[in-house]
Amino acid sequence: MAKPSIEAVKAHQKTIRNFSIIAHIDHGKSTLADRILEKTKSITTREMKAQLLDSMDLERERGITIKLNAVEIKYTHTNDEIYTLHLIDTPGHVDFAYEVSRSLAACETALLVIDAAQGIEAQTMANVYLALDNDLEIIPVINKIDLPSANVEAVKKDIEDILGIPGEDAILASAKEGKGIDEILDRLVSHAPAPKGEPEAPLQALIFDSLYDPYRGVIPSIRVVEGMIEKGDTIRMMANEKEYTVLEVGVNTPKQQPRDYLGPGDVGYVVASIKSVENVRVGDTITHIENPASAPLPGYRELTPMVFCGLFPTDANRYNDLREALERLKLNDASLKYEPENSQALGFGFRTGFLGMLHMEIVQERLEREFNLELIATAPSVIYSVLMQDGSTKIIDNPSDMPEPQFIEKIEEPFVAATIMCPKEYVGNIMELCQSKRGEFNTMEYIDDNRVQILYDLPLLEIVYDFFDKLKSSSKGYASFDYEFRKRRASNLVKMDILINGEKVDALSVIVHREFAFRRGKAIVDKLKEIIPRHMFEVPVQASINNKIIARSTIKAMRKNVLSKCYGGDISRKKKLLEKQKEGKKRMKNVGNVEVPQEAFLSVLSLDE
Amino acid sequence: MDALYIHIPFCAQICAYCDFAKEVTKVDKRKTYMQNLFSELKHHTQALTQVRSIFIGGGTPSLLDEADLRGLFKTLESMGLDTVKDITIEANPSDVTKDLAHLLYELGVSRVSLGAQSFNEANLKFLKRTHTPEAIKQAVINLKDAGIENINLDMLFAIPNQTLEDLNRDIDLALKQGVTHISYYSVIVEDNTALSRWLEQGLVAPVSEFLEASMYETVIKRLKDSGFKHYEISNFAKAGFESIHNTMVWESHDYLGVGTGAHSKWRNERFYNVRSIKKYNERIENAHSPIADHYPYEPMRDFLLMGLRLMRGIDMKAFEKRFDVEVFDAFPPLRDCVESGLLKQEDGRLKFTHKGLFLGNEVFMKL
Repeated sequence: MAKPSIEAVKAHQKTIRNFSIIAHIDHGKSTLADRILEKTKSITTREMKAQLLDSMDLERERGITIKLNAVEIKYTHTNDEIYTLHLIDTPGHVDFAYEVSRSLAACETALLVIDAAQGIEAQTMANVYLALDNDLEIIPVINKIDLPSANVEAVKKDIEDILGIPGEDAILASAKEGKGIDEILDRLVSHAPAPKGEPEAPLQALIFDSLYDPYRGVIPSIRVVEGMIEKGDTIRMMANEKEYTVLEVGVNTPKQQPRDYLGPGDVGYVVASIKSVENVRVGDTITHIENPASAPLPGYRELTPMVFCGLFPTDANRYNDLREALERLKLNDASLKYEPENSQALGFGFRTGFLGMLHMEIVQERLEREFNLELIATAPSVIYSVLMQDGSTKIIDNPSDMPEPQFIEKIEEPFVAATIMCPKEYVGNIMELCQSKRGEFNTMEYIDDNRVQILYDLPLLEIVYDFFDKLKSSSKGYASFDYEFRKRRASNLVKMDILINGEKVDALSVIVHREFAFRRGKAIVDKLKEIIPRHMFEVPVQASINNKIIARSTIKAMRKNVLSKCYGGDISRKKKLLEKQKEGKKRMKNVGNVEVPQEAFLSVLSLDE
Repeated sequence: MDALYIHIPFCAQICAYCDFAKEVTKVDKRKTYMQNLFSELKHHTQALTQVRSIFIGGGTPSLLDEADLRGLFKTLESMGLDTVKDITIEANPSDVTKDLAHLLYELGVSRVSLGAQSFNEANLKFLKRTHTPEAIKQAVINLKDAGIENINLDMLFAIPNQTLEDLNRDIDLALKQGVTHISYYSVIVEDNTALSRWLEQGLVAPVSEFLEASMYETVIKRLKDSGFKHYEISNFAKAGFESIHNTMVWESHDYLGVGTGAHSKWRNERFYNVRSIKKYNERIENAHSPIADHYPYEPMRDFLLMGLRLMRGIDMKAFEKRFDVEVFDAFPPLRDCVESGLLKQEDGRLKFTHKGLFLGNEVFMKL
């Protein structure tokens, strides 16, 4: 194949526009993406499922984006020139902030979508800052202007006052009704910069996503920043130094379409028989073995899980199925970490690490849905750094592994910087909530006449525990919330054990702040009393710290469970009723001689304190 | 075949807790059903030559008029069932007039089971029963006057809102009637009944498990103290007046059920008839079998599920002889039940302990 001329590559480069859409959840990002695809006839309506970019069912159901996708769009401008637009979709949740930042790093431009009725929210701000960090051109789009409650002028003012971007430039759109789409495309051509980069420079291609194909291995999504990449090249991943031979390059339209080469500014994929997703790390740089780049692109970091929980199959015989399912998910999700865990109460399972709560929920749901597994999940935990008396440090992600207190010098827990935005009437409630969650107040400012931004440092433990729900109820759902990891800090933490019928249940151990221990211990044992069915004997449920009982409740013995009715000669009725009772028992775990329902292991998360 | 059950699916009103096959119907519809019922009965003449007990239940058999009742007994007579020792019929107390009582006696009914349920007017209304407490007393008098001394009262406890005092008053009055047999069932909330809807909607509160247990304890103690023998989980009888029919069912004898929704056990089969009167009529009129479906007969499990309901329990030797395996080998978890004090072994029989009586399902679930 003839090498393309440098001139041709450069001419093509001038017609490229790489952009992302950033928005708060529900502000209409996916619908807007769909309209752009429709308008540019990238896909026919018949081909299109609603919100095509969100390819997993789960994403469509939840209306959120988990997995990134990039699409190449051919757009014929009014000046009759054909432009190549790359729409790089981003996940819309704080759990995936790092992936968002890498996707943004692959673009020159961000469409900032703001709901005309909701205005700017905490996540809007977080995304704008990420975009500004990456030096992106920002094109504000006020969406949903068709809503009766739309207040375009107020949102324009917000954009100027809060984000410092000229508000009158904002494009007015209604993705639902297809309004404003032409203007967006036109603005992308006229205002968004074409990518820089030299075709003859050493190759630097940013990996911003990957997908797993059972036949072709892991396929990274890349943005070429410098140089060219084509079939037959030998490439190296700069972070982990793995080397591969390129079998194919191409672009997503959104179907994979092979190309002869990818040059500077191009967004596409690379097939190179890569076996493990471990070797394709988001944020890493691909270069050539010969004439390599002197340095990788900036911004790469390893993804570290923030939240952990134990996952156990309800049916112990399905341990291997669970392992295989996790392996399969991991092919597509490098941030998922797991290792075998053995619980006395729950048997063999996996200690599993996630980027955040949503990530955890999604993985659990996929395991149950796509792999037909019934799981027991333990309450989520964060990572503690434990300084021992002997000067050594232990990293603990499982409360039951916490060393005995006499050996501990101090325990450090992760704190996050939380940004909360809410109407001013809820400030009191929210500050009270943050205080009760051991929050440290940083600042508060009015962002307009009506709304306030509050910054707190909060322990991640409390966020994992029930902060979202409490925030919602204390602001009638009006508060929005965003956070990022800030620091580790020593806290007065203790391990609290739960004993059922005198037996310690490792899977129920939790780490709590000492000040909350009594209250939370009481709440947990009361909750367990509600959840655990009565047995033929009395069952005490106790909370203990350092082997000292601090709270107790008692499940009274069962008094009567006998079918008095004869049902004539109909024995099948009796059997059905007994089967129903038996079925209920099957879904329980035996702790000693006590049958404990699955939901008990998550009960510490839904307490009325 | 040892026992025959005849189902009369008609009711004047639907009780709040009832989920048996029944319909509120007009008289002419009853006539058609009865003709078809007679056909089904006659069809089984051969199988019934050895039958010892007949139970006419419902629904509300006492709703039948004289002609229908005479027709039924005439059919039975024509089948030459010489071995029958006991004929029980269920009756709604307010139906048992002097005339009906005399008719039943004349037809050869040996035992009447009255759907008394409670002597508390409010409870009866709540349960949507049409009779009054007074009607129960009068029914007993009428039956005795007519010569039928063997009378059962079907009673209920754990009626929503019922208190222990209410129950004690009910027991006082039930004992006062001088009957030979009392069945005392706790209210069971069945799906698709008015009661289940009321509970779902929170209109009534169920009796707590603890109160229910105290009530059961009270029933057992007071009936025993008054000379009744507690012979099955929910059944009490004066000496020699145990229900012959039900005992045969509990002891795994064969029984045939005729009429809508009736269940049968015949050799190694269990089956039941269609529940709808319309379908039943169609089947019989077209000379088709009214059987809706067969279901598994699990000889050993069924033997214990039914047999253990009797206070005297099961004869372990008889079990071994019948099934060629020792009962604890057939169901090893039963050993745990003995150990945990739910079951006991006495004179070669396996039976409930007093504790086990309250927690029977914990044993049955192991089968």
